[in-house]
Amino acid sequence: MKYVSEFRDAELARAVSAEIASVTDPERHYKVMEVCGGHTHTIYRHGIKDLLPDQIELVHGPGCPVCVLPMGRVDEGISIAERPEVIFTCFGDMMRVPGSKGNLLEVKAEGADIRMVYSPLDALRIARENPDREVVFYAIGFETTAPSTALTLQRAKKEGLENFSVFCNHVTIVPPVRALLDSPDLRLDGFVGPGHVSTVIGCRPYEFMSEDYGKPCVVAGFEPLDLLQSVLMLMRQIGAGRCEVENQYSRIVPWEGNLAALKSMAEVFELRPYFEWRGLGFIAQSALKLSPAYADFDAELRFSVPGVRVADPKACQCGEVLKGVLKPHECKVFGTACTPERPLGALMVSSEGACAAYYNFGRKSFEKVEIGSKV
Amino acid sequence: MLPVSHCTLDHDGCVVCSDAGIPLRVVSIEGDDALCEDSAGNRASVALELVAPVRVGEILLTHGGVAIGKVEPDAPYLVPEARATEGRTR
Ligand code: SF4
Repeated sequence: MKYVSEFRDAELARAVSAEIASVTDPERHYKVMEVCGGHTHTIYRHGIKDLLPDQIELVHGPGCPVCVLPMGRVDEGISIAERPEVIFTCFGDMMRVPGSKGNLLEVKAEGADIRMVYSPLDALRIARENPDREVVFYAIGFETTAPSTALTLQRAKKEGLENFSVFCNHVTIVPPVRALLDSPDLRLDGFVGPGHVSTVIGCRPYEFMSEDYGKPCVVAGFEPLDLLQSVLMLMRQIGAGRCEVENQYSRIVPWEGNLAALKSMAEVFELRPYFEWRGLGFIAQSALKLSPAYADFDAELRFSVPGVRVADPKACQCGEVLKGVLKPHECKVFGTACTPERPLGALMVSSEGACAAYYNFGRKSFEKVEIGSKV
Repeated sequence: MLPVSHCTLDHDGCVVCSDAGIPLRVVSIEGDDALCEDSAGNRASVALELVAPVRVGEILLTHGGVAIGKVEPDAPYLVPEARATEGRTR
């Protein structure tokens, strides 16, 4: 295998860019959605837009797990974290996601025992070390992350740990994409599919896009050249009137996914009948909860979480941005009442959120970032 | 540099939000866990159950301390479809 530096080879990037231009119909406008927040980040960070013809518009999708979490679920996490017997653990960005009365960082400053972890296995270790406390892990993420929660729960069960539980907010990628395809607001020509989610679920779950909706999908890696190649593969499909699922990231993504990870998820989780998504509303079978076999580890049951619905602040237009109907800077409060330092909406929190990515990299009038440069 | 991507354990930002997959090389194995190393020499413990069996020297795709995939050392990293453009400038 050649060295990875080629993924940022400027000359190769220009060649792919020229090839994209040559297969683009100048009379046509193309809308391509990158589903994953990681891709949104790469696009802004490396100035990918500057390497594409004006006819190709990249639309950001719903693939950032903190961005799609409805405010009610943030509030419920906070209410568990505030309990005196609880050590509450979560991933970094989750700390700053605004609930209706503040975020986890603020609650921590007021004295709650909230700890940032890198892995759910760290939360399990904290539970082992603190047998007299209740350790709760706030699980978020798509199918890339769900297997690590599943594996952690399997280990917890094997060890018989009684003071560990999970507040499960895992979501699945296919139902929101289907909801977007059903939405009359948006006319898309194709999808750049999420790379690491596909390591787990494989490429088959995207076949409905081409079969039911006639839209091509290319599963893509996360380096700048990966994204350019994926756009090229999409444009070639569109040009030839094909619509298929293709795998640009085959060095990592097996077509069938990771069967051991899927098996572990199937044991630990089951689908929720419906789940609320910020901006997209309630979507059937779009999220995971713990299966009956793991009910003892379910924080929702252990702490009788009520499941309240909280509306987003009025000024916030996260929903429209999540659906790709508005560009981040078109939101009324972008860069004024809502900034990465003081986010009003979740899309401004993680650097993969469309608004934060746009604020950090796009806002500066799309200064060109040399693709061969080391960032 | 490990093949696959530039991502290392120093990865800034949230691993979950960025859907980060960090390629790590297996240094040693103890039970269900392995000590692994990134291209910058940073080390971390990684759970192996979802990709077992694993051998020392293999490269794993990891996410939040858990291996979720293996990197095929001989896999072409440019798919043939995109490869057609290699070396061609216009
Ligand atoms: S600028 Fe803030 S409020 Fe507006 S859509 Fe973005 S995150 Fe939401």
